Amino acid sequence: MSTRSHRRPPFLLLAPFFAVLALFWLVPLARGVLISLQTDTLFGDAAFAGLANYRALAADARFAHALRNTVLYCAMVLAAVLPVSLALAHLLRRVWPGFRGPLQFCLLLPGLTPPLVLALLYLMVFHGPQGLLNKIFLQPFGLPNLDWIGDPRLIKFSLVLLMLWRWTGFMTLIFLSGLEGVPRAYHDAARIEGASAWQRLRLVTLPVMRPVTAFAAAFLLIDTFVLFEGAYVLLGGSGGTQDAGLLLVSYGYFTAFTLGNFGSAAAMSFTALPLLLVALFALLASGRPRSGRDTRKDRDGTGAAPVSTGTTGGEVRP
Amino acid sequence: MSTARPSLTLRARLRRHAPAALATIVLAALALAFAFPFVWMFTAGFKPDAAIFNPFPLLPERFDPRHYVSLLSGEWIPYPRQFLNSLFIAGSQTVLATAFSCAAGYVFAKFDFRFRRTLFVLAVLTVLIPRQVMVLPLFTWMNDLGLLDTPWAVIFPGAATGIGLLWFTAVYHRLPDALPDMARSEGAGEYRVFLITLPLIKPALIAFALIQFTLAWQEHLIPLVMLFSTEQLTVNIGLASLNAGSLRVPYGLLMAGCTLTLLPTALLFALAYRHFRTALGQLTET
Repeated sequence: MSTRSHRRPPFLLLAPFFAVLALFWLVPLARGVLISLQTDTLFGDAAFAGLANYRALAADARFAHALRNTVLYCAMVLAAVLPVSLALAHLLRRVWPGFRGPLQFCLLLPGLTPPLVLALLYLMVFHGPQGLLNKIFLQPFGLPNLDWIGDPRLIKFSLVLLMLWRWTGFMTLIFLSGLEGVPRAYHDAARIEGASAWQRLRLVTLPVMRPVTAFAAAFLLIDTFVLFEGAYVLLGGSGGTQDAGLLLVSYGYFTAFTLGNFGSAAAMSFTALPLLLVALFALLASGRPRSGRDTRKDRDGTGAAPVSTGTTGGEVRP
Repeated sequence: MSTARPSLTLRARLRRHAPAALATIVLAALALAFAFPFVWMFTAGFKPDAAIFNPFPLLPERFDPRHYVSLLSGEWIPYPRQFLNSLFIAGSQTVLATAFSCAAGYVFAKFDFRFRRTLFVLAVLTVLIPRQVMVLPLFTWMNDLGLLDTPWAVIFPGAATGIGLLWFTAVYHRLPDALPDMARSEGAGEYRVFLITLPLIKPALIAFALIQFTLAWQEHLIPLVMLFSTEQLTVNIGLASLNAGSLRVPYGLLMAGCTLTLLPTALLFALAYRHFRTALGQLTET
């Protein structure tokens, strides 16, 4: 562990980051708050409206719906992608060596693709009677077509599947690196103590990988929250049938740039933002080692408990 | 697993190889499902429009480059121009975001100064706000700055990232002080010392730049809002406009265009994969 130096820091190195932060985060943030307190107008003279936009939002059933959808959708994506990736990472370690590279590349391919392209491909596979799934797997057996994009019961599932397709490769890669970082000795020790495979996963692997997992989960959550093209392309910019796929980001875009209600759209962002930030911080904080700072000094790993290793990933404070 | 009565050695061999075989088969099936639409997309770029929605037969009767020719000649959209726009935007954003967060992370990890913790929390808290959530005030702000419909309206908001700051602070946190201290004792100034540390964290730099480029290349909402003239659009927005056309959608052309968007990220990943793995490994290393 390095020690922090007390000599005069090279402040100029901080300057660019904080310049961008001030100009393109703080200024828009302040302006956004201002816009959210004004009446809905495009550019012209907006009148101060106080909390009217927020009050209107509280009464807006569609907004409540979008909020609920978004929370549910994010939770579903995290709950689907993380365990699947962890399982795949375990499998990948067992695969015949020559197959590893190509398999990894195939899994990673969707992650390297613009989500717009993914959504288009997804449509080709899943969409209506034209879609590959219905044409190849359902129709020949006389089964009715499933409308993956139109059926309100399936829309959210479709969106989650799209994210699963997009992120599994990356997450698997991250977990694979994490798994390789778990010292063999820990596993051997646990095995000698008579721990089952499940116990080893829960008590050895997962604690060691917690920082990495937290990092990965935060990344995934941000991308899931803001990903726009999925819902936009699949559902044509609307919320889909019965608004089953209405997400905050698409509803906000619709309100701002289709309806021109800037005030309401800004109010929407600022209502949802605290939720996202709280979730992100909870995730990142959960990645910090539980056993506290004292063990962290033990950098050589001599006698360090497994829980105290890998201190870096999710650290929120320097 | 096997109910027959194999010889002992066969059974032993089975037991030894079965897990690997099973893992390979399961993963291969999954990888096939993941990658199949891409194969379809690739071959569809050579098929006539009418045949595109049926993936079988997978291979086109002959590899007809018609769609690529018409795409690159700019008959429908100025594709080459939009491709370059995307490259420029994603490239600049990557360079700036990597340089800025790396420099800031270095100072936060290696120096103690007043308000360090406050500044750090402020920075992370603010910059963790996804810029997509702020797209509306960003739009009016860029309008006031006169940057709308220029690449800078997309590049600047991506030039700092909260995840990047966290990443580089963590990376520098793990970097021992021996080498920088040696440089100091040789009389190097603080800025020079920072430059000297850069080669030491090369894998982390490359890994971050790789992720950053991939995400910037994929960005959709910000360019959709900030850019409007066809000549300024990024490749994603250009392709989306093809798909949204009210007249007939040129599917073959679209598939060709989609295939080409994969090139930069796939190429970079192939080149930098090793560093990416090293950096990830170092973060979990005990």
